[in-house]
Amino acid sequence: MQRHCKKIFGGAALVAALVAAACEEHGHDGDHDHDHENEVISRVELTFTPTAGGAPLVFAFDDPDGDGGASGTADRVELAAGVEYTLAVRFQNSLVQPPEDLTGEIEAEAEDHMVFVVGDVAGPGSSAPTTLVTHAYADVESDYGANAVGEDLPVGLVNTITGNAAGTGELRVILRHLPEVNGQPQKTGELAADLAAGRDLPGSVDADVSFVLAVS
Amino acid sequence: MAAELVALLLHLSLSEPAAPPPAPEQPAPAAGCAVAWVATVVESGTGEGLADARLELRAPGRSAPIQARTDEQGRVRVDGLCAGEMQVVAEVPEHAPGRLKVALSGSTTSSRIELEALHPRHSGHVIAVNVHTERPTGVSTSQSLAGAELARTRGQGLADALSGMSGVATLRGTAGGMSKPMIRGHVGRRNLIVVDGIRHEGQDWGIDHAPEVDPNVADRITVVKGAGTTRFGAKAIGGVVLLDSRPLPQRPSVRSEIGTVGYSNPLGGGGSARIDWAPARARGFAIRVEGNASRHRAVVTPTYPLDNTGAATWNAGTQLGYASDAVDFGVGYRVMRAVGGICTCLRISSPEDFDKSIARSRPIGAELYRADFEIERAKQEIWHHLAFARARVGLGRAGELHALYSFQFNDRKEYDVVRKSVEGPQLTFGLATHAAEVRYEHARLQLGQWSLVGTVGATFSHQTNRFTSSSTLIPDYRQASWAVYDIERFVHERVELELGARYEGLHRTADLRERDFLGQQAGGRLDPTTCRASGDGGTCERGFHTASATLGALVRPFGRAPEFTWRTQLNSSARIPSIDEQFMNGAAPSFPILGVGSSKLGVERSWGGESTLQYDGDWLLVEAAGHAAYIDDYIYFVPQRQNGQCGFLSCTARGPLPVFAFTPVDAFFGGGELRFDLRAPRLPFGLAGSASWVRALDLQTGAPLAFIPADRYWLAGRYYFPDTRVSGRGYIEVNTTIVARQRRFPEDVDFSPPPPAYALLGAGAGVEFMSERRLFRLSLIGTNLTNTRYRDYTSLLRYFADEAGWGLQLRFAVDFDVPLDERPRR
Repeated sequence: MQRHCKKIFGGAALVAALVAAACEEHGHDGDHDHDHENEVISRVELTFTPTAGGAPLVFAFDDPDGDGGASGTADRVELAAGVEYTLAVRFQNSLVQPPEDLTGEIEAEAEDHMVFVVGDVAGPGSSAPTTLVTHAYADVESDYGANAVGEDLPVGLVNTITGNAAGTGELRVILRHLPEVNGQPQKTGELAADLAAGRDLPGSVDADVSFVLAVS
Repeated sequence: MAAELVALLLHLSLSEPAAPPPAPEQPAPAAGCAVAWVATVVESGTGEGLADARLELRAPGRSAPIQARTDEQGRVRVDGLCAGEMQVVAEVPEHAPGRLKVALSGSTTSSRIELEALHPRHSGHVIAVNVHTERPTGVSTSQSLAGAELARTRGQGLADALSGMSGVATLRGTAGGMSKPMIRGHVGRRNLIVVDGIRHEGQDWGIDHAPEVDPNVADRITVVKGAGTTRFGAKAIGGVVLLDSRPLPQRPSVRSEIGTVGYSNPLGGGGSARIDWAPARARGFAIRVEGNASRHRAVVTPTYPLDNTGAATWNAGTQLGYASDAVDFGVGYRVMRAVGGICTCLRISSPEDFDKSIARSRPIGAELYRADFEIERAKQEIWHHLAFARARVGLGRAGELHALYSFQFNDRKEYDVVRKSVEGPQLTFGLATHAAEVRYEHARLQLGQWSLVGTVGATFSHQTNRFTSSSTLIPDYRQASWAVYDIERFVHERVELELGARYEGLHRTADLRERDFLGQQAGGRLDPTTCRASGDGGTCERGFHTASATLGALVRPFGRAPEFTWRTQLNSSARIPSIDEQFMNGAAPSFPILGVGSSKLGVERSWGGESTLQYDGDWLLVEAAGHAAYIDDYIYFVPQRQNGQCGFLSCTARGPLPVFAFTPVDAFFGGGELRFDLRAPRLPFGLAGSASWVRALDLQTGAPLAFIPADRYWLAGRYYFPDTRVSGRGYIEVNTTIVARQRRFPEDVDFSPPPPAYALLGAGAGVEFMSERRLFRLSLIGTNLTNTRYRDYTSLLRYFADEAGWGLQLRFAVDFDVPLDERPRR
């Protein structure tokens, strides 16, 4: 009998050890965000720099509680008619301190990302009837690194915007994440035209923010 | 169909070629056949006679089997048998079936048949006379899966295994098995899953959080359709799923179950093994080692694969026990590991994309989808650990005492599709639960013709949850809960009454981080009397106290037809709001909406009743059940208008999202189920069917509630092959499942109208080969054989893609049982 009891207690000890090991392995270390990795975009910043020179104009969409219940807010984008601007788009996570700039990560994966500028805009991604501004891409994937896959397509982190007619409308900036599916690229040269024609795009939306656009 | 023919041929080739042609009528015993067979059917271990055992005898000289039943002492006598070898199969509910060969000779042959109980041992002092069912709620509607029926579900997830039961639907998160059972329209927070008496504790609030339970551990799965709150606590307001593993062997033996399963859609398979060893030299002790593993590729719909829906799962467990008349104890440990991909089609990024995907009949980019084994982001990785210790102490004439302690750790990591520089998970949850229960089963009191049996119990549990993400969703919390309950059953030969009451308390402390706390405070969702600023964030502390009660009856109205029963139950149950209902603050998993909770929510109370009529005869089972409940302050997820720049919606960096808030409404749930199983007497045909209906209304608006399963019908026709000396229970089946379109849905809550009605064709064939020591089970099941494209109202996938196309499942299992004691089996 004694021999069997030894076996049993040996077994119980093994169970206890397994549980202890399991808890150790999966326990937390007290540092809450230690191993957590994310790249929430809570702020989209548009910098319009007149190509002829002048002070840059900065407008932002900001949602300081991220996906919390409070609504985000967008600045009113005020541009001048007949002026050409270089538009730089930046994406930030302002939920962490200090705020983290995610634009570099998008640049590093330029072949998997594309920014679309739509609304009351004339440009590759838009077929709007009223066109307060004209948009053109001013960058390509090879500006940010080697173009490994397919054509050297635009990315949209740098753009040219020209103020056309005075008026008030909408400016919408969309960042699509287009990672490869089963080794096949989802980003193709037709995406902007597809968007303009109202066709569905592959991939997913990383950012989709709308601003009131006033051209005077 | 070709594979079914193979099964049929296999079956026929194993039949006895020289068997005499079957006679149309039961032949009269030949002259000189005058052997009487006297048998006693007893429970192994306790030696108690088992009443109403069904015996099937394959006697020499008879073409059809003889049916017999034992009397109240477990005895049976059959006269007029011919000498020779007779095969006997004995079956009693809650016990493993027994098979033996009897050599009939002389004038009387005696046998003793021992059947192993499939429930833990109980003292004779606490059991009502002749009531051997250990079902905790005998007065409520329940349905069980065991034996060959359960074997046919091996290798499937819990929800899929239960989906054949009437009144049980499946809430499917994504493809690849991430689904949860839905009992009479209730899901997740309102259902409890109990594994061997231990409440399963996981992140059950999310729509894509499948219960981390391995159905392979169970030897019987019972669904209690309706509130089981007095025995199991507040969460059991909608229903209970009980998984009971086979008790460790009580007789020295080596017992094993080894099974394999292969399926064609998703392509994959798995294997499982369980070995029990009860050594002869240490009577009473037994050890079990079990494990299983499975892996499958992505699911394929009739027209495209659901990319990245592969999964890999393994489970392992061990337990050690000692059983005797006076004392039992056991310790055990189980671990589950599951990695499952989430369909590439299911990217919920912006409301506009979501609307577009709903409008399409095929996911965009489906031409790039592949059905491969690789599991990429988005995916879930889960560990679930369970360790337990239990004891039963007989207190002689005073009754018996049970104690149970368990620890569970649920470790869930969710990985989203992100930029390559990010390696870790985006959401991490760690839920640790300690639980203890002590219950006292008092000795039977004999009150004239009535027996009174009952259980008084107390439970305590402590739970902590840690959530890690850069987004807010739910706060970390710790909670302690306790309960006391008493369930008493008055048992008469034809009437059983059950009275139950429970009182429970819960104290929850939630720690909200700065952004979460300030955001919720600004939104007016935090109760200032229970929440206070603390450090950078805030702490909310709140206690809840609730009471539940049930009153039920089981009546056998006709003395001459004890097969006919009427069960009815009235109950009032209370459920304490879960953590997400109180504090959710973020994008709800799986939907492009923002979900917000309210710390001000109170207890949800239901007042309900149900009634079931059942006839369970030798060749016919018919059951009709109806249920209705009024739920006061039913916690419902309703859209909430916003006042920001985005009009009624909330502006986010991914576009304007609708906000849904957990809000108390008054609700009504009602419905019914019908099921029957007919096996034509003396004919090899059978017909089985079931139907279920659920209606649920928001009584304030009069609108139907969302995500309530549509009306569902199932019909199966079977042909039973005649048993032979080596094979039995051979059948071939054709079935159809018809699911109506859900016409009752709220206009403003859902994103798309319910999908159209659909009908699916299925088929199955199976056979068992048995001997005294071994049982081989072979089955082949075909699903959606017409390769119908369909979408289901209670599936998240319906917004994005079709459900699975046709598939075949082939299962083979071997059970063997080798006694190690010297006692010869008679």
